[in-house]
Amino acid sequence: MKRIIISVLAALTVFMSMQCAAFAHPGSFSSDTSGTVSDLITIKKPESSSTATMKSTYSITGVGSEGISVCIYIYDGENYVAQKNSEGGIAVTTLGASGVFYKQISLNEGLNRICVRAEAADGSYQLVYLSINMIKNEVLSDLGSFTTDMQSRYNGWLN
Amino acid sequence: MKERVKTFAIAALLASSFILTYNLWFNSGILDASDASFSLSDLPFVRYFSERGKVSVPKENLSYPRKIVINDGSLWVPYYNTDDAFYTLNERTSEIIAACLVGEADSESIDYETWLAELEKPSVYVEYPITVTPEMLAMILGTEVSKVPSEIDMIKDAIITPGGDNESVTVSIRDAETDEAVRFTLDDERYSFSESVLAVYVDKYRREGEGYYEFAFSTLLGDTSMGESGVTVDDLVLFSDSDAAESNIIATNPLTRDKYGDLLQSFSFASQPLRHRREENYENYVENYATVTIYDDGLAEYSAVVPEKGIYLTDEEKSEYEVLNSAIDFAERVWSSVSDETLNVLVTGIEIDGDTSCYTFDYYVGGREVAVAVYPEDGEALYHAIEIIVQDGRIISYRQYMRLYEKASSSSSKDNFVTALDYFVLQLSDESEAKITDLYPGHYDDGKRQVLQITWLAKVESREERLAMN
Repeated sequence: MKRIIISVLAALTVFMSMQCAAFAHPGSFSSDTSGTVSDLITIKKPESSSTATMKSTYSITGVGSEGISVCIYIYDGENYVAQKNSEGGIAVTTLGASGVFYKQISLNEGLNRICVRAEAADGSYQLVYLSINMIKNEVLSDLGSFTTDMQSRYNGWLN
Repeated sequence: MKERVKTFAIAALLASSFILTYNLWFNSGILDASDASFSLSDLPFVRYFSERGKVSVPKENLSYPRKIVINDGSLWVPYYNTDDAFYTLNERTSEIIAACLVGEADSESIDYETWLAELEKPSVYVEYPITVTPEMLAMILGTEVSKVPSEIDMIKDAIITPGGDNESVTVSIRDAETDEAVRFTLDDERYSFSESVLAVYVDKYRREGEGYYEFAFSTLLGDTSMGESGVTVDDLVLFSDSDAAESNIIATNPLTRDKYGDLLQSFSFASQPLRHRREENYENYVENYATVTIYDDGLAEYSAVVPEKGIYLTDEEKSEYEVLNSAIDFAERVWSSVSDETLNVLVTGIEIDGDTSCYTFDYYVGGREVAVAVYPEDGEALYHAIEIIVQDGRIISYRQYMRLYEKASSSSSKDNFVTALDYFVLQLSDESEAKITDLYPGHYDDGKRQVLQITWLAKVESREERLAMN
């Protein structure tokens, strides 16, 4: 009986550790966390770590080796929190034969701080921090009319 | 009294003659096309009245784009034939594109990068199912070309960029072979197209549960070599992040044995040709200058032994557009010998080589293409619903995979786009530098299943067949 209980416990431990290995991305982490490696993935879009857009839906794309798992985190003011899938779990994408990942995110107006976390099978992980500033159309048109206004005044001075 | 009896007798005789004639013509089957050399329905005036008001779906589809993609300022949303927004959008975009082809707009040359950049603005992208000359596109849109810049020889797609309140609409058309492009500017109020209309379309007509899409060039993955063999995707492949469920369809073969006679007659064969042999899975019929093979699975093939003895279609001097229309008419006649249902196909390919033209058609159900792939044991593979080869105004080859499709009550969810991309990259791992030119949801019919689920289809450069995700 003792042997059976030990075997069951051992099996449970192995099973649970496998689960941990498969879903090793944490639910959240603080903004001062850094990765252990920096070569698991290459972010293609955005092209730089800080960018601006007028679009409320924005896509983050990148490439890496097959088998690397990728998860997107959004900064909530205190921590970076993992995006959820439709079942409420952490939305993890494992790169397939194309090595491509493509994720659409909804942006809030203003600064959006995002982190892409990539993890290899050996547990090493990479964090890529991104800042995406979403500018509303009205702000841009205000800017446009301000520029036009200034230009007309400037032209007026010239004339 | 005598007069009255006579009048009554004549009236009765007249009435009975009308009743008997009606029964003879319409109920006895004596004038049925299959059993007599003379058919009442062949009379021109009867045909005029019986066909009046009938709509030719392939001809109607000819004027429709394959897809219309709206950029409302965020990302892109595609609309396909049968979507609610498609027809109203098409009506507007067609007249704007036609106005450019008839020379109502100013034009300037632009390069491919500038053409692509138009897509980043709030805009409407229109992609036609076939690549055609400006002359033919104008005819399809119901007008005539009067002035098209020399940069444009073949058209496949165009981008319409609406102007602001007082701004003019621009239309950017590129040459499908060289990627050189021309931007037309329409200043006429008749063609005004406000940017705000785009957001209205997207809000009102987006398919339920469907997310946004994005062209490959915008994802910055367009030039990325994928997998070990370095597969790339075309700039205009639409990426998506959603996996919406769609209806399954049921495929049936309408070409039952009792229809063989009618089908043979549609190829100008006698309904029971003298020379006929039965093989394991097909029937072969031979007449002096042609053969017809009918496979048990619904594949029918006509082949002229001598091109000059092929089925007369049209005069040699007719325009490409008229020849295509005659080919569509012929396909509809063949189909009507097999089924009473409308032939729901889309012209998806035109290849013209000297005096020979090859037309391909594909079935279209609920806005989704059905990719056919049949491999007859003793014949050549067929990757389309219909393939017609016309030489000097005569049909020298006609092949059709006879299928009727109807929507099933069940539905299935397709995998997401990147999973499909992974699948095709793996499938193409043996080919060096393969390029995926399109990746889109549709149905795949290789004759092995009756219920067809929604899946991903991929077009690969220099390959005729479409790949399907299993």
